[in-house]
Amino acid sequence: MADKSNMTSDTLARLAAEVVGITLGEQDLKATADLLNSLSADMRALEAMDVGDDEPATTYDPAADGPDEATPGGAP
Amino acid sequence: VSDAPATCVSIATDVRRHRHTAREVVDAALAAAERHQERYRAFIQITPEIARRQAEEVDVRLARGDDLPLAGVPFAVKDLFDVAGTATTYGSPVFRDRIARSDAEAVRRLTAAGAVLVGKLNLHECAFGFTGENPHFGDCRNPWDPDRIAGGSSSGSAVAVALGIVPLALGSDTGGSIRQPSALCGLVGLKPTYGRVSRVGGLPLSWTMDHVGLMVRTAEDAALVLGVLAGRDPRDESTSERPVPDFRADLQTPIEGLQVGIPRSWFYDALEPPVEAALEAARRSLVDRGARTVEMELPLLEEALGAHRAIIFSEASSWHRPILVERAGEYVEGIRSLLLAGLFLPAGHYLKALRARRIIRRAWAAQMAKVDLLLTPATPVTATRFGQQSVTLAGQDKPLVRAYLDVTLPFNLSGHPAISVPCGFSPEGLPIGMQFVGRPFEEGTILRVAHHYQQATDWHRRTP
Repeated sequence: MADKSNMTSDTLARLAAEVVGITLGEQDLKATADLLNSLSADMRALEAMDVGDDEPATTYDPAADGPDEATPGGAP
Repeated sequence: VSDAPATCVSIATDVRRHRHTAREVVDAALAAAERHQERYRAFIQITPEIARRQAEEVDVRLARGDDLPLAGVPFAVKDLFDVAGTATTYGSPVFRDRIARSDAEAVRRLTAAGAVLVGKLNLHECAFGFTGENPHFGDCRNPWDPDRIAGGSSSGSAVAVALGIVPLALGSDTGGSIRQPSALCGLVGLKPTYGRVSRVGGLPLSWTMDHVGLMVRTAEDAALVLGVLAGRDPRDESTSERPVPDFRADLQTPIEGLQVGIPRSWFYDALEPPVEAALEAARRSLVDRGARTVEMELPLLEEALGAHRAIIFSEASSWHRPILVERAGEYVEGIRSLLLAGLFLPAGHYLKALRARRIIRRAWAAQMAKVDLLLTPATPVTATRFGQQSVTLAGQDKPLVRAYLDVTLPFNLSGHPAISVPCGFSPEGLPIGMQFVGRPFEEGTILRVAHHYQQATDWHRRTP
């Protein structure tokens, strides 16, 4: 990651259209780009962190994932 | 508001001994809910038909000799928990027509224990915020000063308990959403260990950091209710098989000799002076009761903040994405940009956060092994005014999101149990809260320390 993120409305508009497939208004583009730059600053220490060979922890038992089992929540 | 609102323990005792019927208790709660609604906007939906039916069932069950630990205790739930036959709005018009087919597991356990549901509570839209401002269902106002925020996202939960409408409310906590509003409204707010309470039937914000918990007035009530809520649910793969202790019986064990860690760096760096003074007085009170305090440090907090950001934005956007790409305009602007941002975070950030979480947990476990619990502020500042975006602390402007949540969100990432406990008031008469953090699945320790503290103080008995 670059030292300082510089997401712009123009870049975000292209990403939204070409990667996500949505069109965002000017106000949403500006607010979201600003937020992404702020998030990037908050994540700088995380990005610099050496995580070695550690894998993500799993919180579930893959053997329990049957086709009919409910999970918490669920799409509305 | 009465001078001494009833607790879960006192109501259940009275109903079990037939001093009141559950129906009488719930009628009073429903009347209070209606009376306060226009001014404070605690509820999204009051449910008198459900409440009266459940109350009558409790009276019948008691008459036939059922043992109901929460007999007749009125409660309400943040409107992200399902209640069969009602809409689970998530505080958003997007979900206004989402009618639940069954009760959330936490709701089911409470009603099975004799508690009576009086309504669905207001929240910050989609639980993605900390002020309780809600343009769709009305801003939740702080009972101690209606010009100030109640906190959030479990804002209605805090307001309903602080006003004495109900002695118990369910909330959820992904970055501080139970503990922060509890602190701002003068309540006890418990976020149990991740895996202690089932999440089934609650709409998610961030699967791996969402905690179902409770808001009450006393640690004794928290112990009683946690005993009902806790335990393995085979439908929630994150829930633990560990046995559930008798939290309430454990409250009587003395706290003499307990080691209380004080992590000065990060948690105590920038506090409002009244908060700092209240925390120091609370620390002395614990020492007077035989606890020992130890200065210590939790490492990797900046990394934890980044990991929390990467996880919450990625998981929230993943869940909301199907709606977001079709009907983004239905979310309020501030929530929409939060959810949109998560769509553009690289997967690598999310995976790095998951890997970092393991290292952070390990590092904190090493520190927590040296003490029995931590003492920190629950919020560095008291309730701020509506519309306020930042606060000046230690001579520097700080965005409110950082000021409030930096002290609570680390324990959502790690899953440690944490409780907010009232510990004073500011000169303006606003509540101040402290936070105890325990080792995983050691809720009993933080409940016990909170209980002993409340035996020596009366902050929790004060009412707006």
